[in-house]
Amino acid sequence: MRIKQLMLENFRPFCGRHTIDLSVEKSRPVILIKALNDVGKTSLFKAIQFCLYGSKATGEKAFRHVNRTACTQNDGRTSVKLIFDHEEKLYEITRFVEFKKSPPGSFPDVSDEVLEVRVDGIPEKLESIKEQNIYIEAILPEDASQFFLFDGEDIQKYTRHPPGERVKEAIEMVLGIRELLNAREDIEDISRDLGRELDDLLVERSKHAQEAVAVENLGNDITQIRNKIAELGDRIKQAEENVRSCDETLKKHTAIQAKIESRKQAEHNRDLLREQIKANENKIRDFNRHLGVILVAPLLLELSRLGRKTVPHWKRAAISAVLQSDFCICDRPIDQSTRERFERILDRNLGVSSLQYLGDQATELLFDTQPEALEKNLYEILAQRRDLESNLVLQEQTISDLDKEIGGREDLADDIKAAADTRRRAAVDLQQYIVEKQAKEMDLETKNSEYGRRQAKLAEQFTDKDIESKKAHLRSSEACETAVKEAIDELVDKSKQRVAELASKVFLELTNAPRLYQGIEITNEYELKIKTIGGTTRPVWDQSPSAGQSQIIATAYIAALNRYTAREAPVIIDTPIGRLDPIHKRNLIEYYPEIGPQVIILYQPSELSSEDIEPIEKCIASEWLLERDPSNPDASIFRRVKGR
Amino acid sequence: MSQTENSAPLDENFMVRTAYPDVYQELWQKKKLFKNQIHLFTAALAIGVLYNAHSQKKPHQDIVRIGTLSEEHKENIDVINILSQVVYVGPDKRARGAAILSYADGGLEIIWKEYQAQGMLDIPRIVEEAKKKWPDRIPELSHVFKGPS
Repeated sequence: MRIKQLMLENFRPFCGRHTIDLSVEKSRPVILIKALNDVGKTSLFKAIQFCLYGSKATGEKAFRHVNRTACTQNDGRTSVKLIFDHEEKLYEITRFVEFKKSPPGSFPDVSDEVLEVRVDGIPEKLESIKEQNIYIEAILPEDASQFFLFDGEDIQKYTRHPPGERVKEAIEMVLGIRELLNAREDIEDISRDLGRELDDLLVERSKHAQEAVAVENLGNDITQIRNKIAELGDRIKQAEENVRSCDETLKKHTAIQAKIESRKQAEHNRDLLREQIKANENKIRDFNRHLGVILVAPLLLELSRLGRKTVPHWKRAAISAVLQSDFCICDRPIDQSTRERFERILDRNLGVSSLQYLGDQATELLFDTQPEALEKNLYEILAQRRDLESNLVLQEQTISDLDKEIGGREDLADDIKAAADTRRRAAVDLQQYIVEKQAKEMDLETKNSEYGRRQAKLAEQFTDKDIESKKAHLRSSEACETAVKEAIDELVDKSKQRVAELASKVFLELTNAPRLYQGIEITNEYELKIKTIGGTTRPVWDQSPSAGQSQIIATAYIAALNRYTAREAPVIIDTPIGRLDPIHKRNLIEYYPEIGPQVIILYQPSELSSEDIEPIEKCIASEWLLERDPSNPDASIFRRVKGR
Repeated sequence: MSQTENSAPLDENFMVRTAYPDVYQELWQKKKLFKNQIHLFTAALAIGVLYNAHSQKKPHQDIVRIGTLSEEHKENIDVINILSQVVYVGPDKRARGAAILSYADGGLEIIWKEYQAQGMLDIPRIVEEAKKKWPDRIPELSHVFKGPS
């Protein structure tokens, strides 16, 4: 990376647009920028940090970078643009924020930061902050930038104990060790992944074994279920047999019970008939009172008939009275023939008065008793008796027949109830077994399906080849990791040694007492140690060096790191001289052209005089003066004082 | 109706008797074929007259005095009275009474014989037989029927 131009727009003290040409040549790598304090040296330094890494790298919020004059005039934009060569391409990186006009004395509202990148004039599409950061880190990592953009007075921190983790990582990055460490971490990750995969395979194998046992258990379960189903089938058959047997018993008992009931009914009918017969006997007995009159009815009829033929007493008395006179009742004289006829009537009935009497008695008796009706009634009673006796015989026969069928059994109601209870229980058992069997069959179907599926899966070849292969990979990876680790250790050692050599060389060039020192050593923790001529090696911080000596040591260290690193970047030094004594100052100034291919030195007039600069005059590409704008005391401007 | 000496009813003091009290016991009391002994006596008398059956045995066992019978038995008393006039014509009441008792026990003998033979009294058959027999028997009783021919 070699900066060609820096363009500022409303950035801190720089109101409006300003461009500074920072291009160098190989023989003239140095650019000097002189400025009084509080004119803008540090702002220039921060502009480069802002452009590459954003406001967070400057330690200040974006709105603080907005030029105070510009923001009171209008809405506008604060931007920094760097144009540089890198890996034979021309990069244009612009970072800006837009601000709103704000009243004097207040900070403006600003937009989010925007980064635009063009490579050889073609915009790069960097949509996310992460993409942008990765892109810039690839050019110059932010952590490494501390060795390229630094405050001369601030670099003493590298001599202090102990160096922070961030510094340590930055050193490793600059030395290229970070990449190797990253590679090692990657290999470690690969090994870890392979280990995990191997573990997974081993677990899988273990699971496979467990699954085989589980499938076998499932097979046993299925066998048990089949046995249970068979057992339930037997129970169902037995229960069905029980139900059938109960049904038959119930049928038999019910039939017999029906006969018992019929017998009871027949007995009842028989008893009823017996009572009716008894009543009929009573009727007959009652009727027999009339037997006499019925038996003599023909005689009575004859007596009655004969009695009616006799002349009644009153008639005979009248005839006798008529015969005793000569005149009839009608006063007509009685002739001889009439007298003879009257006498014959009287003669015929002589001695038959008793028959007439009997006839009257018979007639009266017949009238009173009506023998024909009685006889008819008798026949009805007797017919009824015959029917009753016939029915009685029938009922007794029925009872006799039923007795044979019933076989002396008593009432079977209790037996029927017991059989019905047994049947109900058997039916409940049967239903329960059927339901249980159906459930088991469903379970069997499910388990069979699962068994088949799992067995088929088990049947898929599972060999140890995968595990062996994975183990081989893991072994390779671990070997690689070990090799890388060893290489890194060796490289670190060598790098440290090399950096220590370079730093020692620079240090001995820069120090004002080269005779006292043998050089610089770097510990594993990148702690700097000073080796004295006497052979003692002590940490820098332990020697309590002066600020100037610390700056020289740190500069030597940075120079060594810069020289050793594969990265090419401009070295931008703010306040380079500080409190150095003249020897250190001269040594350092003379060393600046060698510190890197592009060295930008921001200094204030008291640090470097014309005489101080003279030794490197021929190495200066351009020299700039940063001063207050005469028309705006709050603004600064650049002015080229030397160079093209 | 007027009565003659020859056709007077039985005296109220007339005692119904039998020579077969055990038969009465059997058919009346034991077998309960008749509700009252006078019923059996009447039927036996009717059969005795019908078949002109006289018992040779002398009745010795009193059954009932006619005069003690209630109105309920009027039918039977009437039959007995009528038959007494049929079987005996004359003024001798004792002879009439004796004739009646003789015919009654004669009839009872027939009944008993029938009963013993059949184990029962076949009333319808007895009635039917009576119906058939009377036409023959009535002429035999001509002394009673001296009426106009």
